[in-house]
Amino acid sequence: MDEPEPAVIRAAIAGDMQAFERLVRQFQPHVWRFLRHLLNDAALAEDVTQETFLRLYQHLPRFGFRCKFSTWVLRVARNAGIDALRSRERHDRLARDAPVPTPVLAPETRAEVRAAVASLSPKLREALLVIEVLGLSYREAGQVLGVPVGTVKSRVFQARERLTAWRAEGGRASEL
Amino acid sequence: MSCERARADLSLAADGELSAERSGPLTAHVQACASCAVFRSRLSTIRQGLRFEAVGEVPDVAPRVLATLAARGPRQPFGPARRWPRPGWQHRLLRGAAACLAGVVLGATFIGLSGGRPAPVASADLPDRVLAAQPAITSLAADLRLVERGWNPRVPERVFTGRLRYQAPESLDLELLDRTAYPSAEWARNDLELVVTGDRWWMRARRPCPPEAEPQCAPRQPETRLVTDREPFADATPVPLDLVTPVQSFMLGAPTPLEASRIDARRAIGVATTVAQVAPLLGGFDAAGGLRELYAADQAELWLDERTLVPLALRVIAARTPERARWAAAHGYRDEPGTVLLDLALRRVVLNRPLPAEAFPPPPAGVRAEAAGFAPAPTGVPGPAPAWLPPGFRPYRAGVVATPHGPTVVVRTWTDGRAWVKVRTTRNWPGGRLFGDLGALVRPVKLPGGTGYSSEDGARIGIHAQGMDVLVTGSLAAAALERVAGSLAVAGRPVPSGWAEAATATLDRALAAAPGLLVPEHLWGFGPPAVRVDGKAVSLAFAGPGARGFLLAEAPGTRLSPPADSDVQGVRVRSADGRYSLALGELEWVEHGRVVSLRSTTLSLEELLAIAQSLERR
Repeated sequence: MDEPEPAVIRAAIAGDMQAFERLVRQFQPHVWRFLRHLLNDAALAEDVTQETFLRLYQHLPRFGFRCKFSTWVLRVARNAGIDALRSRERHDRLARDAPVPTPVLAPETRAEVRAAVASLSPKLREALLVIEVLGLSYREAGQVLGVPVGTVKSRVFQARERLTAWRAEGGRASEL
Repeated sequence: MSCERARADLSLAADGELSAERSGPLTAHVQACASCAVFRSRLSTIRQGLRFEAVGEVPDVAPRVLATLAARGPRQPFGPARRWPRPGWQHRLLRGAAACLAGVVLGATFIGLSGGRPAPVASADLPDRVLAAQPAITSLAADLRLVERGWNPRVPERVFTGRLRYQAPESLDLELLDRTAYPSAEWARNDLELVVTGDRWWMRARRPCPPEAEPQCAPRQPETRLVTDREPFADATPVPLDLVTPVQSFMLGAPTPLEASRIDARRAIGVATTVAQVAPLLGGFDAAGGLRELYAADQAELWLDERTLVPLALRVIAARTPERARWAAAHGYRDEPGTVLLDLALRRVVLNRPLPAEAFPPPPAGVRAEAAGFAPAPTGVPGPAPAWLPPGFRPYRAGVVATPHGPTVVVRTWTDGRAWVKVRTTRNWPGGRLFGDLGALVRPVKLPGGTGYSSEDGARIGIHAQGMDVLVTGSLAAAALERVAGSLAVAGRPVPSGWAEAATATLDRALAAAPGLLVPEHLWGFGPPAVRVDGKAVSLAFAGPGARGFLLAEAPGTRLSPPADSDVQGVRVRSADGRYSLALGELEWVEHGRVVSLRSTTLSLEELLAIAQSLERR
């Protein structure tokens, strides 16, 4: 993921809306793709993408060039996404929605993979997505998720164990 | 090694986070363990499922975000009651920040290694889309602006403006006016005009001069060259068709990051790649008064119209590696890493509207013509014709090329507008090597009628038959071109033992001749290799899009030969001490009693190291 030019970030911090628009356009594909998989809902992902950039604008003055801008943006996106998940969970509990149906075969098609990923717990799902969808290194992923590198490593592995051991009932990992 | 440990390591390896010393035992385990091999293949299924998606799905939230912010008024200060930032956030970020500062940010590599970190999403279908978009363009008119930096120390910036016009399938007019503010009148301007109309092309330009010879370089005046009797889709014509649809640049397609934007009121998608990949597109400007040289691994940002994939903008940025700095020093450039060297923009792009008759002007009067030797035969020529062509293809120009000392060649072509196919046939090929300039390394391909040979990049297929030699070329995907070649009623044979391509082999034969051969695993963005076996030495040539490609050569040996060039540096390769020669673009090391060399003039050292890391013993 390319870093924007520092001059653009500085201009956006200073309130230059054109510069901010450039940042939005540069990062919205990454943010949206991550959120779409995290939330498993394209329309909600679009709303939360919008919310991400509104938050980002508010927080821009706090960006101190201590870290990569892209990592920082994704961290804002991740937090907005987790907030959305929590509020949806509350809503789902109220609505007594049925649980996500559990597929019984190893995911093969793109749709099956997405459905399988959607059934992971949010912690495992977000770890897998920042690695697979955004292509971050474990170190960057740790910064985005706010956890140590070792935790990223083990969550990504657990997520993969569950996805590949899909034949097991209840989505629990088992020997292949 | 336990299976659980192996799976954990496979997970790390998939993300490029497994240390080199653990990768050897892991490979050994997976080779012997079927269930771990299944695990590995499922990891790749997951990756494919998450990474690839259709271009154009991403919504544009910018207008709504900006409208909301405008309605809110000035940015509000943070209140202490806000949930953000959460406890612990700052110290974690600071810890992360320290890691950021300590880490060396290397220039991005554009090797698609499915065993390494995933490339950002959504570009997997780009090559197919570019190929599919070709016939949609029947004409194009656009204004051009080209800004070039660092050409000469005394001229920091050159500016060209002009226009591009294209009429399918092969008429083109490229005009560039040199608008540079030169230091004085003694500097000559480098205007360019290039016009191609079917069977002729002409060009008016100054003969290229090395930048350091300016401003005294002679001749100062532009010269005009006119070539008639031009063969259809001739290789030798400077027709930058990739300026219209970047087919060559994406023929084999590397997975490259995509962004979305808006350029000149058009929705555009951006592709980050290297100069080597867009070389066919930049080649169109070679004639423009000698543009400066670019480093093959310089970063290129190409923006394409989202719907038609016509290039809208191209920006070249100096790479940031130490090798790049040494290259600049050796070539007399003073480029700062990260600076923009070239900015090309197409504006006011108009597609598929009739062009005026004067769009392709005739050459100036009195210019002596050079004849290229093609004689059209409107009633048809004898020679094999494909039984299968992609839908929409119709016969185009056909004829015979006869030159005094060369073989007589029958040429037949077909087109659907922009995409084309050409079959060249000769009955008096002298032999020694395959007819049709397929390059030093070729790949045998199985055709229904017998054996054929494909060039490294898959863009040329040669067939040697009883009393006849055939070349099939075209702007099709390699598989489609193979199908066209296979539908010719020609029984291809293996080349005679004395020909240059006789050592051509399949990968299986190479593995039999040299067991334990190192072969790249999970490598994207390159076609299958062209293989050559000479005794125990094996060469594998991999071609990618544009000019990207590399050669992997392995021969028995326990030490590197003395360097041929003084400009070598020591490099750590796959836990061994190797060396890299910038001048040759060659990375060499010794592994398991074999001297291994990776050579490329279009990939950076980082990319070669990434390829080296992906090699597995077979």
